[in-house]
Amino acid sequence: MTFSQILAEIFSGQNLAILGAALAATLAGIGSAKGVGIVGEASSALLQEDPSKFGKALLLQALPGTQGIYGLVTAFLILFKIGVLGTPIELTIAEGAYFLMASLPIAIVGLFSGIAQGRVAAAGISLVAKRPGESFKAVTSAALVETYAIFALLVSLLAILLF
Amino acid sequence: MAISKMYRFSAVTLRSGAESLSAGLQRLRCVDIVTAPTSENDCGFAPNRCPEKTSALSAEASRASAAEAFLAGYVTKKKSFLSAPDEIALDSLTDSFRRRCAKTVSRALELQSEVKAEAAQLQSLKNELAALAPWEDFRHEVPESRTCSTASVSGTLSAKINTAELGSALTELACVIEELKRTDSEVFIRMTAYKDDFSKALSVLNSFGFIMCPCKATAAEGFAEGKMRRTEALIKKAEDKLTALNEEAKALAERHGDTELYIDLLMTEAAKREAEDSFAVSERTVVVTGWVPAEDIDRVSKFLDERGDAYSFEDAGCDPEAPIKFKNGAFAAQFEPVVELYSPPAYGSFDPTSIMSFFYFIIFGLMLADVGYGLLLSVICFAALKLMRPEGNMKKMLTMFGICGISCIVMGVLFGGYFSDAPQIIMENWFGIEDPPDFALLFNPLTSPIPFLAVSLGVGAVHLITALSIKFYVLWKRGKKLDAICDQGSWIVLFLGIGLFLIIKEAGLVLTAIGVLMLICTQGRHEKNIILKVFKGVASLYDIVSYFSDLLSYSRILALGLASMVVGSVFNILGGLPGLSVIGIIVFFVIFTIGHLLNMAVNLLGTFVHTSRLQYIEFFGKFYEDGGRMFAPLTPRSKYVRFK
Repeated sequence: MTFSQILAEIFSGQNLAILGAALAATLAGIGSAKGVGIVGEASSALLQEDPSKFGKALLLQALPGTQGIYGLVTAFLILFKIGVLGTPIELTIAEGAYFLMASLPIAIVGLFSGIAQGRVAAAGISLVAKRPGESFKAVTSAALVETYAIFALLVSLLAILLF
Repeated sequence: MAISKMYRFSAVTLRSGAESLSAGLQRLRCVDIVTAPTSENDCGFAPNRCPEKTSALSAEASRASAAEAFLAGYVTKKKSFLSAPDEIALDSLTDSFRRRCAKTVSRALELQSEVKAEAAQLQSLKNELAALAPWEDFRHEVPESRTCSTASVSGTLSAKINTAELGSALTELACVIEELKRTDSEVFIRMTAYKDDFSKALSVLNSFGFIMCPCKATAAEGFAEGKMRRTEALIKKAEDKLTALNEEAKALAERHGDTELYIDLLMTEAAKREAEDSFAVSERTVVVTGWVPAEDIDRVSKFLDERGDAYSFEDAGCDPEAPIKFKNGAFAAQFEPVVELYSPPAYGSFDPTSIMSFFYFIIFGLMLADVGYGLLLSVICFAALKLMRPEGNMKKMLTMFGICGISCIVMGVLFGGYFSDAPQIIMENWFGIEDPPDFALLFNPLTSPIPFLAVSLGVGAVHLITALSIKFYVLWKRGKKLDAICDQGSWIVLFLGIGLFLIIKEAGLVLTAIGVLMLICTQGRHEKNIILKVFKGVASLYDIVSYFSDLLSYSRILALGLASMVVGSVFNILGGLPGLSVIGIIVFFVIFTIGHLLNMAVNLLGTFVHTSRLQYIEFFGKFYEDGGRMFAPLTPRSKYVRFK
């Protein structure tokens, strides 16, 4: 088997599509993990002082977790479409690359918006600490960051669904 | 619109009647008491502060809380957290009840310290007994005893000690070591020496790691054995005492509920006390000021007439200090907490709750268009309402989510979501039906996302135009008719034109052109220079970008709807993989239950947050004037029960 044959085997249409699914799940997942982690660190400092605010802190901590779910949704849709979970369909390299590219918006935006949302939510934890009655405002401002992950998800989903 | 008209209320009463006045207002629950003007404003009145009473109340409250926590440990019948709190008539609580509760609290706190002391005593006796036990067999005093010329000491050495070495270290000294007992780890010894050499011998022993017997027993006490018997008797006594104390605490815990009620009573009194702090007093009289909503004026006047106090009500007009009390229909009222979470509207401004509630209902359903999730949500919320009978915002929020669940059910029927695609998966995997039918009345967003995107953006367009219309209405009502027509009217015309263009091309085009023309002609009207007028008018068209981005923001309805459907479908597929068998069905239900509960929880959070966001940013952003303060009447305050 020559090197070019190996390359052709690796970069088959099917594999390119799976690479897309993997990128969506991985990068968006990393973004969420980092985001949730940042908020978690901030909230345990708050909970030391006042464990009764767990519910509010948990709500804020859950927010940056959605990017990972969006990545997962995209990854699963790609897997459905190329028949990994049913009867696999033959994909040309160009078709595989189509899925790979379709996954990029949520993969990239999910990574960065997850971290950014985590930072906003972590700052919101201090709002919860000082003025628990206003905590929903912290939730709203964290949700603003998520908007762009939602748009990215939308582009990815539309591209995949309309294939 | 739907904000209660407020009246500034003031009343004057004699100083002796101040407490009964505040107590009466507290029962009426409709007066928001604010600080009355005092001598700082040169009217001869002094603030009615009484820190002693306040601190006495809070001290008693913390004692009661401590007693409650202590008694809670002895309560045999625990309340389920789902049960509703008892309803108690505040007037039924007499002074004798209070005194009885205060006694219970005192006795509970005494018991607490007695139990603590007795338990500590018991522990130290047990420690002593354990320390004495190894010395039980020996008939000599521990740890030390003396004759006129000798002294002895008892204790332990490590079993690993080199006895020969110890012996040689002690050869110079007039002393003897008896080995009394040997266990695997230690040697029990008694060292006797002439008084002169005793301290030296002891220091040699110490250098070998000698540990003196930690307890004391003299000949008079009957050596270790006698002392142990006595200690055992003491332990028995302490245990009996502790049992008796615990029995008493258990009996006292029968009154745990009363203690909770007492705490609530104290909290209510503290609330009343806080209100009294805002009164202003002169030598003989007390002045009370506050806010009363228009609908409650009759009740307050009746109460004050009966007392014979002087009072007045004054229309708040457009006083920005006036608090906000929503007045909405049964449906819209449930959505008030959403507005409140953003920020209460300014007094005298437009309350969007009723219009918002309609959009909230629709958008919530579109984002979570699933019959299964909607049904679960409604059932959980309405069951919680039934069981816990919460009050205030908690009650409203639960009702709101219950109502939104109905919206989810309706949208689920329209767009074919039944726990995502559970029916299709079951048909395919269990009954082998190829290409199962779709249950969507309209279309399934998963197979036709573009029509669903159109629906999302359509709802968004209506939402945005409604927001502009509200601003138009508000400006028009305030007499700024020109601003209303120029700033809002022209945009409304422009958007209606674009909308119409999708149906009738020519008419839409004309209407759009009129809108554009209106904008160009009017948006520069504050400029004097004709060139600037035109320039500003044309530049204002650039705002279409921001409206466009607002509109696109509604595409999240599609994205969130799809996300919940796809994740739900993943769980269905995973559950359906084993196929139709006993194990297959069990696996299916386990994955189905856990997966869908998880998916529902995550998406419920997302739907709530993002539906609210669409209201806050896209809708409220166009017209909302915030900065109000919620109406906070003086009411009984409670944690455990509910005062009627």
